[in-house]
Amino acid sequence: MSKREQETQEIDSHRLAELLASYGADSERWPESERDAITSRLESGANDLLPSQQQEAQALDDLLDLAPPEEASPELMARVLEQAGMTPWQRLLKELWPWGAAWRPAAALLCSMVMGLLVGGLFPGTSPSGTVMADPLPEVVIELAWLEPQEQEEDYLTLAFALESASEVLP
Amino acid sequence: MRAEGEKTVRDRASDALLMTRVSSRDSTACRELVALHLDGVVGLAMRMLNGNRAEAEDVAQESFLKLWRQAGRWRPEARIRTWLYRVAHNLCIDRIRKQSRESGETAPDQEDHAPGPQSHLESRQLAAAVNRAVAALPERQRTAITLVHHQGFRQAEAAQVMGVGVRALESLLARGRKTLRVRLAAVRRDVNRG
Repeated sequence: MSKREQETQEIDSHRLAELLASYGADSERWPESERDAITSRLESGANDLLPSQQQEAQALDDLLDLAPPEEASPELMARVLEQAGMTPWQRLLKELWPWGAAWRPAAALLCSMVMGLLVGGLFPGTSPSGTVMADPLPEVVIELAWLEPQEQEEDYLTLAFALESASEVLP
Repeated sequence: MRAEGEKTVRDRASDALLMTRVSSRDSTACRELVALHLDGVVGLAMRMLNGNRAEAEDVAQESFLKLWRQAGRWRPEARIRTWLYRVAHNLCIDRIRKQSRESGETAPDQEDHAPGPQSHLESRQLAAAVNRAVAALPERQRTAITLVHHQGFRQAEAAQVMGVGVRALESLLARGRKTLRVRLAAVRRDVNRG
């Protein structure tokens, strides 16, 4: 064997050991570009160490096969499929209101608005504070404000008891 | 090689067709897609998030939501599986970083110490021991092993999902497998005896 051939074989053996260490013994996992080369190399039995490395890799593969990753729960599958069937607008609603059907809060809001509009439209002048502020004060009350205290008292009495004059009740 | 290349082109065309159907909210297409990839995405997320099912399912749901949103703008050269797992991988990394920030720790890429495997294990215990050993690997090593060994990703596709080069992926795989070989040596002896 020439020095060049020996060097190539050593490099190949090194690479083969690397590949077995990285990808294991199953040819399906080996890089596609090197798969054929690896197979023929292993079949040729050119390196005494390779079979043991291959067995070592196979043993670890077998152990890893015993512990496959967990699977999705049926609830998750249902949630994901529900999202898939939604329009972008429905998805947005779902994000804003993730606690159940979005029509419930929307309907409550709409009902409140309709009730407010109905009450406002059917009874426009029923606000008690609005009425007081809107009605002008009776003239007699305004006049009272400008009187002397003694006169005010008398006028209050005539106003309160609908008398002709305060002298009817005052001592 | 050529057959593999043709298969990739076929896969891409079939992915593009599937996404066209998904964008028109074809329930059969959505169901097909979920059946194909949901378990795998949850499996990867659970491995990356150290077995936290609630977080892993949140990640899977968010990944699929992004996929549904993307359906109308799907590029024909993209692969659904690569795209989906890459999104899930990035969401997991975000969560791992957030948890590290909140706990005041740096993102760990050093190895945790798994409890040593016990001898005379039943098969269920044996699987649990392997799971513990995998979970104790640094995050990138267990992600690489999950993608290549358990999810059947090809070299370049797995590297793309993880956002690393092919050589870096090989190095992560080799280091992860070497650690597992050492940690599971006793378990293997047990298997050979049984």
